[in-house]
Amino acid sequence: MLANVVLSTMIVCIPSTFLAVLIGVPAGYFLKVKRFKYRKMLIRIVYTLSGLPPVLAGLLVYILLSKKGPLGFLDILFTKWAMIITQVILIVPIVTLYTLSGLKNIDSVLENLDYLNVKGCKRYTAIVREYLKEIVYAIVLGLSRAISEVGGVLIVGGNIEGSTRILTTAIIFEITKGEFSNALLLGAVLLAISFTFNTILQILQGDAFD
Amino acid sequence: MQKEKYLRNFAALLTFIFVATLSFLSFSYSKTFKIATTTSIYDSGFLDFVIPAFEKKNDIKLAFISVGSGQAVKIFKNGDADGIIIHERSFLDELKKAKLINGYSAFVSNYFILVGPKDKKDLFKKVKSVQEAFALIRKNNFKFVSRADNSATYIRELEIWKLAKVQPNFGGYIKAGQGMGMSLNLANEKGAFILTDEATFYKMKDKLDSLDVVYQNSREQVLTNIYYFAYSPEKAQLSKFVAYLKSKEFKNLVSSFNQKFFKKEIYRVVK
Repeated sequence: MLANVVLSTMIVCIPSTFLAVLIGVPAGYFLKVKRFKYRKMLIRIVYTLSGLPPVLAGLLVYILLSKKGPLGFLDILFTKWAMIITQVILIVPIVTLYTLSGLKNIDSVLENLDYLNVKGCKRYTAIVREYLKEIVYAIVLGLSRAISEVGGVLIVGGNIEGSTRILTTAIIFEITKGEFSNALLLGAVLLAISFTFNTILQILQGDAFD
Repeated sequence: MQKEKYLRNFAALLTFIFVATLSFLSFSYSKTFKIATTTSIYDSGFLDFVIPAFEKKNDIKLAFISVGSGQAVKIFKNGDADGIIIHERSFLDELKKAKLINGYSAFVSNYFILVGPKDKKDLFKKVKSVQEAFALIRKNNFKFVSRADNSATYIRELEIWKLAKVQPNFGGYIKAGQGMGMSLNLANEKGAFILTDEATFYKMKDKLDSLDVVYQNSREQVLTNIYYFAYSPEKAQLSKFVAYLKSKEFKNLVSSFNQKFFKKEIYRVVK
């Protein structure tokens, strides 16, 4: 039972963080470096969306994925896919925003790369290497949001035992039944997982590069 | 160069975790039928107790989405669930009229009861009907927790206020807007009265230390709580589930559930 819930939590949270980083980091870089017409406006939107209420994201995804909605044909409402989509929507602005503020001195880095005539793929690898620490921070933030989120995934996942029940929704369910000690236990497991993830990331980030 | 190596390992690790989880996700949901169900019969643990035997025998999996009756109907209407379990008949009649179901079957029942603070129990000794009990609560302006959601229990509660010829708008009336379990917790904390189904109450009773049954009557029509199952005509396979609900096996499981958790007959099989 518990093992299943923990596994489901990983299966939902890890891909959603990964996808969000895949989208958010380049988006943050783009907003930081490129100059275009509605840049300031876009940044403001990202700021706003980083505080998007999870229940609102859940509702929007629900409407989108419902059989009567535009993406109903996909038939993925009340599955982990729907939960991942919701979480990606919630995490992307956070990752973007963090990347945006994390790319300090990017101009001089870019200047150096121009000077050394580093082009194409190599240029981006160099940038990623330079800012790896910031990117890992962005991953940490994204993962924290993913793992602690409940409102959105409850709406689109439906808290189905053995498939869409993850730690946070299981906590809500136990509270609903008045089983506060079970809820507390699940909360402790959640914290332990979060601690493990952060330890791994910190080792990768700190010990390797300091 | 050390840095480069770490970077590559890091990327490889992330990609591996990602691919592994995604491939795990692709496990099929093919033979799974989604059933939108009202919270009370799910939160009591009843469905989880009686369903595995059916799933095993028929190689069908049922996934329950436990929400209030109102939301369950919405989910079913939108086609996001294949079947539905609720305890409000008027909703089902609507679905039938809209040709979204061919019919529905009653399979299990229990009773609504009025619970409230232990120290006020004596006041209800001479009460002869549930509407009289409700009127008494109103008269004394006692606290009363209402689900105030679109649930079957709430609809029943409003019916009783109507029978009592009372508007539920007095000072002690608390609108919870939550499911049965949470509303019971709220009533327990606030020392309030609440209309609930027997099963949810007795299942949670040891956590509700300040509450006790103040009025019950199995002969009153308005207090009868029947659960129905219906399914989309497109999902003909679910007729097997209807057959199961009529089977001897199901009946036996219901009585062992009663024995195990209540030590008395709470859920009754509907013939």
